[in-house]
Amino acid sequence: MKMEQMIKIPLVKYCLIGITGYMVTLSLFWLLVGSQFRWSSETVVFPNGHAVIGELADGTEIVQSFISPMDEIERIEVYFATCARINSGLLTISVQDLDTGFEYLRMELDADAFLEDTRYDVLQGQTLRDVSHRRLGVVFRADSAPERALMLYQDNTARDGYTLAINGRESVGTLTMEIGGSSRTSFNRSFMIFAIASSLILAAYCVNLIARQRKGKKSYGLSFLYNISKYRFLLNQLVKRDFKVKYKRSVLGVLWSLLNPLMTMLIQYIVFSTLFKSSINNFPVYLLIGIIFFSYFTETSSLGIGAIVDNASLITKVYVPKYIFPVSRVFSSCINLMLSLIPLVAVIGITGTAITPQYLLLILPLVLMTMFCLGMVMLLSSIMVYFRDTRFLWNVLSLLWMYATPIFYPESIIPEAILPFYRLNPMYRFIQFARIVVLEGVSPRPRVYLACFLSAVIPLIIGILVFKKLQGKFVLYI
Amino acid sequence: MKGNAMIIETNGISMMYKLNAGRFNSLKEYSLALIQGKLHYDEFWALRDVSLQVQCGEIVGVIGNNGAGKSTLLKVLSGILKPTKGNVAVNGNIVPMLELGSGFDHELTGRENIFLNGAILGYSKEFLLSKYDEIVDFSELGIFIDQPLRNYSSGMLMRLAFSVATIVDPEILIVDEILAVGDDRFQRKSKNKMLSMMGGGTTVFFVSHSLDQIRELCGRAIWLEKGEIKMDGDMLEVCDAYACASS
Repeated sequence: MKMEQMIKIPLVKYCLIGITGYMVTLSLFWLLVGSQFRWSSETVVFPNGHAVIGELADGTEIVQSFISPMDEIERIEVYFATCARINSGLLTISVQDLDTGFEYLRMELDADAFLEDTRYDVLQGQTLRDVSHRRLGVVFRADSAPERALMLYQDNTARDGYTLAINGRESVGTLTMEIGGSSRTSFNRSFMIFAIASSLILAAYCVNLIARQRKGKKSYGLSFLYNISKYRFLLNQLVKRDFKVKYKRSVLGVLWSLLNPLMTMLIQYIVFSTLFKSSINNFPVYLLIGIIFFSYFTETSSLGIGAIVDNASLITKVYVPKYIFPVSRVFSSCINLMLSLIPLVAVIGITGTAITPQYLLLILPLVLMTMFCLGMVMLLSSIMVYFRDTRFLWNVLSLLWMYATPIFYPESIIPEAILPFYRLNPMYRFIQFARIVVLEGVSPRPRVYLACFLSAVIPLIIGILVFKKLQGKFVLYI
Repeated sequence: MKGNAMIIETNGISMMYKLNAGRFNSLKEYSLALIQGKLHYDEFWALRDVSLQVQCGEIVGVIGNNGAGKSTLLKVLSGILKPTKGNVAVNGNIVPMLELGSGFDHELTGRENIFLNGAILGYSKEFLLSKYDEIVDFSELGIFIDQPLRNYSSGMLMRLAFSVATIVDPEILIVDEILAVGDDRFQRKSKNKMLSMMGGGTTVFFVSHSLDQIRELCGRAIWLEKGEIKMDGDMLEVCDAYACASS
């Protein structure tokens, strides 16, 4: 049908809104995660070799020098042996830049303050800034009497960049130590490149679309927009219908959308709290996130699986693009999802969980989960047309899926051997993302973003392809 | 209306149905058939190589015996069925009046259903808002319009459905039998409404078993038999030939 020309789409306006919206989103994203991703924390750990260097007595000077492996060093921990005796004397520790001789800090400590096998942070909370690739030295000197002196643990492995000197003589090995700090990442630069490149591609696509519209040529983007503007009203009506019908004859009506997750949480909290409470921080919030996310998935899939079959009377009588039905089912569950976030906010408030600006990132797993659900619904509803027992099979499968997702149990009890399968579970990914944001108040690591993105896009593409392939014959089988 | 532009053009459309032997409704049946090697099916061609062109403003009557493919042809033209072979080009908005009230939801009120059903038929929101009073007036439902549909009698339901479906001035109207619904008076009213819709310069595709109605309304007739066009031409000639053949 050549109806594309009949409705004039204000493409230039849409394109401008699209590009501006995209850039605002990118900037907002950068503001939220930038400070977190600009630095990555690093640690260097040398194992305890259970060997000690000679006593720190009579003015012995031990210098552990190393080339700084990170931009900022926040702690350098060494291990003292006291030989289970009471030591005495004054221990001086200093940290220096060996090339310039600059002394970052110097401390004088009583040797008897150390207990057996103590781990001691020589920086004591100070941070060494901008030390990347500098040659640093930690100098220990003590005036203790022999047999009343501390010793330092070391191991006998020589490591590149690290030298251990006793009274100026180099010795084989390295002190047992842990260096913790952080380095700048290339996040800022990579993000800038990504933002500029993707905005340019988007802009180029928009220009192409506008040109095609002017010339009256067909394009996917244009017919997509055309379909949206043509069927928006129908979609709107179908979603409204689903929503109205759902609570039509119930006394509490919409309140059920709020009560349902709360009551499920309460029950599971009572049942499982003794089992898992100790290993999970903020168990109510942990539980509620899992419940809300997963029941959205259960609801969309169980409603959506009949999207085509239940509308058979329509599909055989009127021409309507068939994807309208799965999309409308997913959207109506979306309204429920939004409503069920209200109890989540309440529980977050009651439990005193700290609310951070990073909470805005929650939009991402919600949108991605909706894409995933749409993909599943398209797949299931089109298979359902051919095999009516899909519905019963799906009931069992979704129960299995629920137990295979850490909703009420901690992620830590998942056996190592089956962890790779868990990683393939998209629902686990979205829930994990949301829990990191809500419970820790920070953005997840970039890898989690990628996992969530793939978990949403791959099922969606599969769903669309299957639906597209099968939809021509739907009407013959319903 | 544009002059001699072709508003409907089909090119060798054929429609094949797989008969029951090839349709499996459950996974069990399917896998059993797969194992037993019985995955073949019987073909039934409801339409064979149908090519026709319809000009703007023509009123075309389609006649033929039961099972001749009339309804299939209408469904293919309205885009509900995709033809197995061939293609269809339609240059205008189609309103198929195949079955009234599809998409009504019995939990919703009459008012809500007007918008739902209107949206399904492809009307815009502005259009429905402007025609809302006219629809309610025509349906004669009065205060019942705010009642849920489950409380309606079947006559009321059909009146509402008819009023929604006939509110537009489509470019192409596809009619499967003239619909006369409701009581005697409303039947006359609805028949007149349909006749006025069909007479208003619209292109009409009209299926009927009543030769009298075809003679009364159409200028051209198409005679389908076993999925093929047996005759296509002036209404009088085709009707006479058909009447001869069936008597």
